[in-house]
Amino acid sequence: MPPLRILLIDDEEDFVQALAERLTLRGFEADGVTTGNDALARMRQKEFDLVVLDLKMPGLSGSDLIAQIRKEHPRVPIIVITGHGAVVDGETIVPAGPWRWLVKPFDIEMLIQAIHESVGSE
Amino acid sequence: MSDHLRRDVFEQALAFFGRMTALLSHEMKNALSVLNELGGLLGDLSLSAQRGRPIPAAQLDKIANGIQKQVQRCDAYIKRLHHFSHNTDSFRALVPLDAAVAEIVQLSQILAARKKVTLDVESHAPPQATVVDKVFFWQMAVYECICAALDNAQEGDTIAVRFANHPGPPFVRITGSRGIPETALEPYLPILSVLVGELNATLEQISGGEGKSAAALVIRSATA
Repeated sequence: MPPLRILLIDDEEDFVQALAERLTLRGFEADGVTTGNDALARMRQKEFDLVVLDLKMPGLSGSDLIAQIRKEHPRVPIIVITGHGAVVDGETIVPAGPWRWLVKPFDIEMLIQAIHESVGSE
Repeated sequence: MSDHLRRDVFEQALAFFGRMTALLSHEMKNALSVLNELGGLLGDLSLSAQRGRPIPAAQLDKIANGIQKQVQRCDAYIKRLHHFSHNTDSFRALVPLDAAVAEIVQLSQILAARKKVTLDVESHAPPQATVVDKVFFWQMAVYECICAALDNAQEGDTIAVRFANHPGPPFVRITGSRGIPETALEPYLPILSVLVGELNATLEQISGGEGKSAAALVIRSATA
């Protein structure tokens, strides 16, 4: 079975690199980018099975990015990671779609469980 | 000051304090998240090494540097939070205005970075030459002006904050590269007028922007 292809999007470069490496060590194919625009560009070049994104990023915000990903890649599951709790600055994420939340910092095993649940694999 | 206005100032001052502490705690959490992953990666690599896969020294160096960087980052945020908090509990203490302005610009930088806007702070006065009390209100007034300029700023813009104590009484000038339109300033004017009143200062809108825009805002102390 080919490895799951994961795209990580977070403006903290060290976070993205370390997490991508940890996922790679666990048998995933993980790519990381630090902006929403880079994420959209990468997704137009390569197919991903799932994206993991932070909500608060400079430039294209996480919620705008979710809307765009939903539009261009409606079948790709999304996992939202955030430093906040479930409510972000009192705002509800508008774009519709099934995604899971993880509050940073998280245990990588929780992320892996969320990845498998999101893509329906084990 | 009317009861209504007093309540408004009280609420907005609390909101300002809350916003600053929330910004800082959010950044600290980001730094902790990076530390969490770097520590986790170190653990993963250690497990791999126990299974016979050597860890390249360069990778260890990179992780160690990353950990050090994030610890320093967290330390800087905690220092800022500590110092900023003391501006509230030492409300009447005399504080150098240049340092207070630099501090609030540093804190506002977190907000500006989210819009990819640069905040540039400069002091045209000898350090500690001007001391003020009610520094929390000074910082709040400068912050409100920065927010008005930020509302009209776009990615790549710079907002300049200048402190000077000559000519005349000390002043802080906030300049947005796209000006500060009346519409952007309007929501901030009620609280700004109360704040400058409390500070025995004035708020000047320097004309020169396009259309109905101010090129800059100046908070000028009435006393030297």
